[in-house]
Amino acid sequence: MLSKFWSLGLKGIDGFIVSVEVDIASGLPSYSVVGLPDTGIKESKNRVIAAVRNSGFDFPVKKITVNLAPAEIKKAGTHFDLPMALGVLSACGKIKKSADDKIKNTAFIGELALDGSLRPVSGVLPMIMALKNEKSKVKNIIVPSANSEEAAAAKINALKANSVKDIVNYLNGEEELEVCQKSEEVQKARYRGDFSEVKSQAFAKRALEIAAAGFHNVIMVGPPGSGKSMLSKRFPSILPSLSYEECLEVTKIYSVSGLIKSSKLMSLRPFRDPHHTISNAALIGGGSNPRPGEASLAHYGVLFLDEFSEFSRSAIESLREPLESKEITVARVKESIVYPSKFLLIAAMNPCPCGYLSHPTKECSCTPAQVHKYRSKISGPILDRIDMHIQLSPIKYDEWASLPAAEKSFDIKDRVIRAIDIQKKRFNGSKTSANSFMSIGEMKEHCKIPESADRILEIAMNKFGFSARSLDKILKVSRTIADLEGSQDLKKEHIMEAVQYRILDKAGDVALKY
Amino acid sequence: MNKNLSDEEKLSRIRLNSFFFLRTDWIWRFLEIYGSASEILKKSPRELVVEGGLSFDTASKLFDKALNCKPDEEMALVEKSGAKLIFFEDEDYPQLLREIYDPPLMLYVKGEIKPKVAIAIVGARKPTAYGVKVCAKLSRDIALNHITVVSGLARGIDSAAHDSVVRSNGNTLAVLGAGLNVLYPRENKKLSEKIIETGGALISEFPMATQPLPQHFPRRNRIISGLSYSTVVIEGSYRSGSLITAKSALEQGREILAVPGPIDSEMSEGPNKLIKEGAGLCETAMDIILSLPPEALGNLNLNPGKIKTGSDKNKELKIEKLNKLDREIYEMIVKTENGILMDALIHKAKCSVPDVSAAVFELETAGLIEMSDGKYRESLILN
Repeated sequence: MLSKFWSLGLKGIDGFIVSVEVDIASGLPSYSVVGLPDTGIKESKNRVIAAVRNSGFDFPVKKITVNLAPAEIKKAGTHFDLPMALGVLSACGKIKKSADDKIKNTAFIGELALDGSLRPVSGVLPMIMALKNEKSKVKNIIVPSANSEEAAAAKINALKANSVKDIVNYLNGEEELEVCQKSEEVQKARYRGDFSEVKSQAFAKRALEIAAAGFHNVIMVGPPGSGKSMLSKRFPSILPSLSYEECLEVTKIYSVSGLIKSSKLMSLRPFRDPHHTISNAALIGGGSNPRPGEASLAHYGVLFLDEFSEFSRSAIESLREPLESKEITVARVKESIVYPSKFLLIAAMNPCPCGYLSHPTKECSCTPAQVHKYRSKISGPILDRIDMHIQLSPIKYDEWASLPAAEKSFDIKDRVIRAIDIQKKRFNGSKTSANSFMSIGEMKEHCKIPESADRILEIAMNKFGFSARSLDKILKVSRTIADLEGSQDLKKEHIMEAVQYRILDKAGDVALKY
Repeated sequence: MNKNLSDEEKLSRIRLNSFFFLRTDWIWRFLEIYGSASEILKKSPRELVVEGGLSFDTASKLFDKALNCKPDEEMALVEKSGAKLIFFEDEDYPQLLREIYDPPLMLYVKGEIKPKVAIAIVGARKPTAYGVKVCAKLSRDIALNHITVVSGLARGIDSAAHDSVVRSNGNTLAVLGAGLNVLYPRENKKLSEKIIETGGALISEFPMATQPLPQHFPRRNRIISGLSYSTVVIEGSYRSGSLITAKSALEQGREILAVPGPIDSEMSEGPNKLIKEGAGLCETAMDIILSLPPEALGNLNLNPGKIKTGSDKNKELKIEKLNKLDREIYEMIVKTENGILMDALIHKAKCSVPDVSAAVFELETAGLIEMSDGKYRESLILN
């Protein structure tokens, strides 16, 4: 007897349809799975047998062959348990012929417990999205109850079930399954922290506002306690909210990584702050069973690298690809997988190994050579991809106490969104989505240097020794400053301000000399 | 003296110079005894021991080193790097250096040593902000009066002195503790290029490829003080190398000055000790200039009444031209001891970020302030 059920597989963060075929033949009792399954799937044998038995069915003592087609793509994951168990039950006649219609247009995913109940699996959303995109006839899906909210987010006809028994009953027409319901809590999600909690640091906050508006990468240099982490953690709260499509994309990545704990759609911009001992693979993705790294988990959000110069050099260098192409390609002999990773990088570092180089009261104990070595860990190519450099300093108590309450994130976000709307209009129809991504051609068009600033730029370049690349960054940042102001043209003042966000260029060798 | 060395003798001198473990007064003594370097090399170690009083160990090491040295290759290296060799007997060997009791046999020079009045400024490798500030000011004023500043291109005060002179378009000489091909410290590469560009020179007694070992620096220090009429010490602890330079200046009979520092700072120990022992107290460039002997002052055509200092009209004119906000911000920056961060500036001025940014930009490009480590401070150099 032969049966065929639909299920789904994952490649990168995209799903594909897999047909699970089960054949039961007479012969020596055996159970084999073919079609490039990984070890996890092969192990499913014992779970399937136990789950079928404990659901009140006899497990056929025959020669059973399970095939996962297409057979040339590697498959992984425990969610094939359910379709395999159903395949066995159908092949030995436990599921009625009348269920064929349902089976033909439904996909099944779920991990089995030994008692026959269903356990949640990771990667539900990206797999379901495959049903939405492909021209397949499969339009329905049955998922474990615990995955129901994630399944509902895909806006497809999704049903939830608690056990194999429930599903068999449903297929046999004896019972109905509940439809997956979208959670109401999605809208209520809020960022932790607000910019109003950060008193002082007006300069840094202004810089971050510009960064948010133009999607500029930022590096912050400052002694411990100057508020680098505090500001960065609040940064997502001034970024515009994610659109539904963006939410889906972010959720897909988290789903594949098994990081969706409450099975909800991720509606907040991610904030990832990996520790500096992170391996390259964990940072940009990879592994023998490729998984997205922190750079992808920060997709549409913020990748915050604290103690930037403590990261291994190769880890920092590996960020060059995602910073440039906004995606990461993990190439393996058998396949190559692309993970999106359009993140905003906020790097933070101390000014020197001991941390107190520019501290107002504490004495720095580093030699210039140590400082030089510390800074040189960040190579030119990486620094070139960072548009804004800002210096922070801890604030003294009397200054702090005298400060009024600061502006709320909401107000800053309002200005940021206005600036982004201007950019959207400007780049309408082009691939560019923000000022920081402008091509050279676009820069020529949109960053016309006003006559009054021509001389200023010349002076600045001579005085500070800016490279042509730094100049590009200055112009891009100036463009964003102008957008924040709602100004059509670049003005002298915009450029003058943008120059202040290139301290690491300006510092050049002067800072390190004495 | 005044006899030109033959090529063969030059090569022999290079051989002798390659054994820089030995103080040159020993070598001068042998030169006196035997007449020429070539003659010395024809002797055996034993003879140097018996006739010259050298220990056998040192003598055999000297011959070992000198005979294994490849002077042709050394000459090729000198030529390749665009440097030149100045022998003691050559006319352009600095006169002042000639007068010390253990002058170098030869100098490796990149750039030009102009026969001018020179003073040395040396000090701590890890100075305080005060030290750097004072050093920059003094060096600039010295340079403005066309006096050459000699220093050691080390980190800290040395670099600050060279840098300040170079930026004031003055003349400065850097005496290295390593071969000219081994630039140390490396971060001073740009600075060393600028020194040559502005008509100064890098000088070393050591063969081209000599590494900067600790024992080379005291030897180097005697050249620094030897080239100069006066030696000014700015900051340094008790164990500081600057005190070695001061000591060799004393042995050479040159003037020593020290810039006093706060008594609770470790970096003031050296200069304050020197002052206690009788060194001149240096507050302004005037103090240094007044310490010069009459012949040097005559050489400079310098009238002590007409000494130039950096705070001249040019700067005042620029300050007058500033608008109100720029001026306010300039005054705020000038008032701070160690510079002020953008953030604090915004806070103090109670202005928006764009306004302060624009002001800072104006001041910076006008050369009135400068930034390092994110802090803005008054610029001491104006050009």
